[in-house]
Amino acid sequence: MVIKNYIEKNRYYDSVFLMKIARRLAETDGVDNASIGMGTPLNKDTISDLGLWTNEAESTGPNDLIIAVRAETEADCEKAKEKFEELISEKSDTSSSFRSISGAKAAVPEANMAVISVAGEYAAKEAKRALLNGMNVFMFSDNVSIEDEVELKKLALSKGLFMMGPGCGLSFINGTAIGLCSMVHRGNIGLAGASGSGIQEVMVLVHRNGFGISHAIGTGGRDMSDEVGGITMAMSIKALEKDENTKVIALISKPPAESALLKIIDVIKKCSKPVVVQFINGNNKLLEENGIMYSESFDETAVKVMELSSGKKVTLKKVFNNDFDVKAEVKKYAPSQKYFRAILCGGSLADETQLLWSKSGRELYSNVAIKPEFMLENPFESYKHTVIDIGDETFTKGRAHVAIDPTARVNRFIKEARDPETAVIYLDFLLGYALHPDPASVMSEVITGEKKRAQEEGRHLTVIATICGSDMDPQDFEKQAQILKDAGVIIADTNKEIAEIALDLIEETEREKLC
Amino acid sequence: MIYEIDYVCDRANSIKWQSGTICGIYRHCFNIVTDGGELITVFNNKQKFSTRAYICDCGTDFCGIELENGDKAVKKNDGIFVGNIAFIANSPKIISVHREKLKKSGDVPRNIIKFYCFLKKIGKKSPVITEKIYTQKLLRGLMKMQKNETEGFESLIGLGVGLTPSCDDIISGIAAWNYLLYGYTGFNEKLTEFLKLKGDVKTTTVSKNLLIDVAEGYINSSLYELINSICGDGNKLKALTYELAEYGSTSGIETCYGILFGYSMANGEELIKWL
Repeated sequence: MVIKNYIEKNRYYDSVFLMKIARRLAETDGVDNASIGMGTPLNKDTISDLGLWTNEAESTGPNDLIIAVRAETEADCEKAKEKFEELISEKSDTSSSFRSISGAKAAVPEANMAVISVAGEYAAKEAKRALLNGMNVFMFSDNVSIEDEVELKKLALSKGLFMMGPGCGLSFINGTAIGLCSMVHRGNIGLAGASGSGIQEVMVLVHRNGFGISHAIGTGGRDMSDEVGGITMAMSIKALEKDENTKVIALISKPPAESALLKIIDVIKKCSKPVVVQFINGNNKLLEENGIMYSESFDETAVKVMELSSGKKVTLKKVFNNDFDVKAEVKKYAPSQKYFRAILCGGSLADETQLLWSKSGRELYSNVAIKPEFMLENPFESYKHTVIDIGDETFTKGRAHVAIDPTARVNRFIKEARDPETAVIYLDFLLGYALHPDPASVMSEVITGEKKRAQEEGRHLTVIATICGSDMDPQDFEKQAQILKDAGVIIADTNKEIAEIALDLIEETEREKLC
Repeated sequence: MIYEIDYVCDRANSIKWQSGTICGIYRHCFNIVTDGGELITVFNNKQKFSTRAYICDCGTDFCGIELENGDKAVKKNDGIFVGNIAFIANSPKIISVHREKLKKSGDVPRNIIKFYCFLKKIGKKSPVITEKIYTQKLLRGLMKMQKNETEGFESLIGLGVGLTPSCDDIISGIAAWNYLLYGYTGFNEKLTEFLKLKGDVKTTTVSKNLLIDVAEGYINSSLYELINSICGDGNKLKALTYELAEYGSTSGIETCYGILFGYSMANGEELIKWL
């Protein structure tokens, strides 16, 4: 046996890391035993007790690292030392994951966009550094003050850079999906807006119908407020107008503040390309007065931009056939079952569902109610017909978004499924990069279990769903659909279609009870 | 890159230095050992920091910025400079980390048992407790320490893997307990004396500095709050135990064991029962 002590002057590593490395070295072929420690007198004694001591380490001090190896040959000792260097470099290798903007920019000088997803209190400073380094910013982080947002957006504007966010859910830039975003074909339709799931819904409808997206620029939820004044939205329209690959533009946003709206109307009127505007639950009177095209649902927005792109009439393609017998489904309900419950990951899908129900004159309560009279008193308890935005911070504080970590939705689904008054439950499934790798499997197990439980209790649960994703997404669209169908879920193509199915089921339930 | 130093601990602020060497870069902090052998630690948040802390506004991980072990750090009036990175100090706030003696107001024996149960539940182990060769040395050292503190320090200080050897962290827990319950007397006085005399050859520079701090009553908030809870109502004991146990790689868990040993030593109880 040969014993070697290698000395590393002034090298510091934590204890668990060193223990792990010592174990790995001891497992190397030809190596009998290994120990690593700082060169304190007591550690030297311990190395000696283990029979690993040589005079090579005599001169070491407490701030030096000793790597002691006993192996069959000197070459085996050398191999162990090489292994040590390899394992150390694995720890310090940051080439594939940069943890600071300066580190990333230094390693990849041509990088021109920083994606920021750190705690809100740090996000603004990091964004400022990125902008000062000449990088566009996509900021997923929220909890950034409105003052910081305004400062950052003004700085970005002065430098001709984009400040997407705070609270920006997704963007699709030059064919790259950023944030919680679906992968779609490229084409000549440009999108901009402050509505993550709304933009995604339009993107996937465009994709499914054979068209494509040039860019989709997320602005962040407060961009169209009085304070921010639509800085990023205006920049987006101008950039899409200049982009030679963009032929038509759609803007999708929650209702804007009037001052921001007036600014944007001015930009739209000067834009040389056709622009379709969808302000979810917004007042479209001003748009109408200014001769601006608008739409009232994601389906309508998608159809309008595709028609403008092709110059032809477009009818949305059917992917899912849901010609099921509504009457037969309703007949399976127990007398107590009468309510619709939606548990949605997409906030904009929850908003649109409320709008569509509102148009039918029905009450729909929510934790994110678009009408104050329908605000749930307790977001954890549904009331009559209810739609829950389960991605809202109330349910996900301290956790990843529910489209990444579905725990909150699983728990809520079980609660709703066991409510004897629940008849229909609607779930949306968002696909794309950075989202849960297999959302259908997570829910299907629970759906099957709860459907069975309901049956044993003399009830019948109807579960309906949409899949907001494309066949280019990593989750495998078809597989996700099949998993849901196998669990007895009725799938529709769009949020609008699902709202109509739900209304049909509830109206039929009411008719049945009257008879 | 420029970062701003927002806070400085009074202990770190009192150290006079001009240059030093980077030794140990971690996610939340990096160490500078000054040419005079003192420790300074730069942290990136105000949630958890040691008594030698400069706290800056770097929002990310120190492992990702351009710092290397062995780099020279220079201190000037307006901040600390390492290569192309500047940590500027524009009137930072001074944080006091010197502690006063605690008053016992709760059921300490009961809280100690609760604390031990939480520790067991965490399940995280120190190498000196899992590796037989170290455990035997630890037990022998503790027994010596019960009879004669200095002999115990001889047998334990500098023993264990890592930047702060495991037994040093255990002694740190004992010293914190003694200071907060009994003040700067006996055990702690001897510990300071020992470290000032032999610390440079017995243990790492970082560990020597941190041990002297604790012995003299400069105790970080996680450790202070935990002992305060044990001596008081014990209400937040679970959360505080988990918080300290998460400190460093195994340093936190070893310091927790130190608290148990400190309690038992002061009460003439057997130490082996905690292992």
